[in-house]
Amino acid sequence: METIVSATNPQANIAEIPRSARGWQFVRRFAHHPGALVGVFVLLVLIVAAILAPYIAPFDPTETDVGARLSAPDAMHWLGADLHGRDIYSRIVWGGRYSLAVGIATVLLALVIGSSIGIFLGYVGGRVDAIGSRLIDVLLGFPSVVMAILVVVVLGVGLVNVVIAVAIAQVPRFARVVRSAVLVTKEQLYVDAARAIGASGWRIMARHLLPNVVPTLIVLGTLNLGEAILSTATLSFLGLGAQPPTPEWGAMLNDGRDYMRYAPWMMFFPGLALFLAVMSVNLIGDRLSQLLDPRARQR
Amino acid sequence: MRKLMMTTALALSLAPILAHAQSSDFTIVFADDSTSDVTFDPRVTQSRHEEQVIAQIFDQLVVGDADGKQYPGLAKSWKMAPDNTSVTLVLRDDVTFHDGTKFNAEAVKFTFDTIVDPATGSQGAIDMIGPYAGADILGPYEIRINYKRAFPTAVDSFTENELSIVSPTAVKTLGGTGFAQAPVGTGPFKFVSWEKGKQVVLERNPDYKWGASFYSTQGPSKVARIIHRYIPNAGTRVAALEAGEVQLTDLTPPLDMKRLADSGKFTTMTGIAAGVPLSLMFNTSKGALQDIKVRQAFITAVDRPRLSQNLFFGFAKAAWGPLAPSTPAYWKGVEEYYKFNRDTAGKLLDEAGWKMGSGGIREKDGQPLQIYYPTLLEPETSVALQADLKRVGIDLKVENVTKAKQDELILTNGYDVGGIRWVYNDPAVLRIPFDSNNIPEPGKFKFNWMRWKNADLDKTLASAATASSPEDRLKLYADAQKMIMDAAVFMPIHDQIETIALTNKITGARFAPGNWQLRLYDVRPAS
Repeated sequence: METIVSATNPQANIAEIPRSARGWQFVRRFAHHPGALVGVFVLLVLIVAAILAPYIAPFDPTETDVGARLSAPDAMHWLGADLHGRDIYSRIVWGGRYSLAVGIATVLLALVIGSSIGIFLGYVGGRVDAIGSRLIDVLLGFPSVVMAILVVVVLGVGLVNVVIAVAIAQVPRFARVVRSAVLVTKEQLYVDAARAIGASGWRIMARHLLPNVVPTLIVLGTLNLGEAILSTATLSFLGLGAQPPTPEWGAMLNDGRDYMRYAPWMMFFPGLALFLAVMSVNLIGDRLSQLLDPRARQR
Repeated sequence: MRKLMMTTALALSLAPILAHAQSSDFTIVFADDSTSDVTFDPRVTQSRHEEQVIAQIFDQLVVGDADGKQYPGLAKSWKMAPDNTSVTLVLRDDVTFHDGTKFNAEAVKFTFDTIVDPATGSQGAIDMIGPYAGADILGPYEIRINYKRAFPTAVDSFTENELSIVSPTAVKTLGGTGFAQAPVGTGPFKFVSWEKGKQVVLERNPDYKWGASFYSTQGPSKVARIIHRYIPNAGTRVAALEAGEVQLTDLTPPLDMKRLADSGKFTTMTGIAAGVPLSLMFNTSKGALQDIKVRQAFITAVDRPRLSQNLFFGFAKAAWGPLAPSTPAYWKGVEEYYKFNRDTAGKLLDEAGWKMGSGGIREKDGQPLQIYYPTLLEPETSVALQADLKRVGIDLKVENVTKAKQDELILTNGYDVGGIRWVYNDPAVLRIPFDSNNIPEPGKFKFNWMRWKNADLDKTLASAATASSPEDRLKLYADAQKMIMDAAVFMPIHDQIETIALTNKITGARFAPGNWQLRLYDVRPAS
């Protein structure tokens, strides 16, 4: 791994610093940016809240209580109650489980499939690459939400299908970026060396090319996470994702739509949760891309 | 979605509609909930939204007002044969269609003959027309309509939008599909244009002088132009009304109805639709709902009056039977069935062998009591049902599906419960969901989603439709409603309501029979 790092990074002195110290240096440089710190803090709060939902949510998120319906935020219902008298704070806390988990699952799926395709096309090259790349261009031509809606219509509604749909819509982006990165990497001497000692194509892709595109993948994954969370919410908002009574944030926004004038908290707080999640992920992604993107790093 | 709303708002502001109170250019805009209209051919439609447009373009032989009272329409008078197997009508001789074709007995015969022709593909009118056997033209303006069996409600059927008279010339020149897109009738408004999913434009028929006697307007309408605009989002419809871009909105949310009525700038009208209330049909062919005790428990577990009050803020009432109270031949006995009682529901489930499990959901032989409800209708009602059912240990799995998915599940018997409702001004509507011949089969989409066969009920419904006296008819329909309730295959939830809000700068809008479509002929500036 040492050689690999120095191979992608002309600042060879980094390779001489012990690995743990390099980790700390990275964290320090990351933390140097106040926006990124805020991002990490907010995201951690959301994740911890989602994990601890059974302990910190005062109400069952699906329990209806007609007496409280559409009630404004007060001491009992901190963020108000919806049409069925369900506690919005509890629903947001529980809803984080769906929104964040679905977002992360989506990106992981897109990342695995997309980078496999990208590495394969980039390494194999030639006619396979030419055809594959054109196909990716075609897929990139579809707006991703339209693509995702199309997939959900074919597969049926539900959160699992939403994961698949949004992932499929994101695959071409990962494939394209990873392919470009591989095109550069595969010309490196150590790849020639591996080939010279008789390593198979699969081995070169898995052992030499993949680790080298990991920084790119991390940046791309984080940047796409925000969009994945938003796309999931969009599909749920349109009624294609989470089904009642699941407290997913996008579905909650949809529930509140007709009551915006009378109970704005039904839309405001799920919208705020969504905004905070996407913002924090994007802040982190921006900082990571500054630190991990070789071109940005040289500046 | 926000972008979509912005675009809609932008489109609205770019097309300012002049609603001056001068009758020469008096335009009204009606905001409709649907965007899925496909035909404006009255012989074909079965959609309440399509009928809103159809009701302005076409006339009927007999005109019913909102209370079901009958007035001469295109027919000046009519006489039912003593054995109820034919009706002789004397028609007006001063009526022309919008395309200049003369209205006469030929046009009536043509309309009715084409309704029963399978090539027309009639979905609604074919049920309304009864056992039609053909028509005899007795003179240019006199016709006898014949029936295969006694059809005592023939004259009622003539008041339905579906049996509106169409221009034979237009149908012949345009063909069925062409006519569906450019309808020609004798009504107070002429069809001008239709931009799919956006709007339909109608203009005043300047020759109109055959409106029914109960209207304040006689002669051409005061309204020069009707723009029927599709705005599927309720909030956007209300915003457009308040901004003055539309003058009437349909399906107005209950909270907005209250606020608008209180504001002094708007008037509201609520129609309790005749037909089948919003209801669930229990699939009796598989799963837990095969057991009548589970079905009874399901119905008893839901507090329908409270549900309706909560969701509709007093505008819609709980429904108790397969017909809404505003439908002819409604049987009051249904109100005694399956009143809300959580303990009774629990007991019934215990008796059926479903014991309370650890997670609050009942179980039998290790299987949880899960009931799958794929639906297109009213997500909020589904949530309220889920909550009440969970309290007795029933897990209602709701899935808000697309129409295509629902159709597939219905055809392949992949559901436990189906949601349904009809606006229909005749108890004969019961045959659509309850006739044994209407069980869906692969490739044949039909509406007996209970998959319930009852030969007695089939016979009762058939005799009710041809009963010779009104008393017999009431008795037979009461029997039918009782059979349905006894079997607990059908769960009425709440009445369907059409909530109209309109600016109080206009007056004269009236519900058509059935309390759903609004007739705009009589609309005029309020002053």
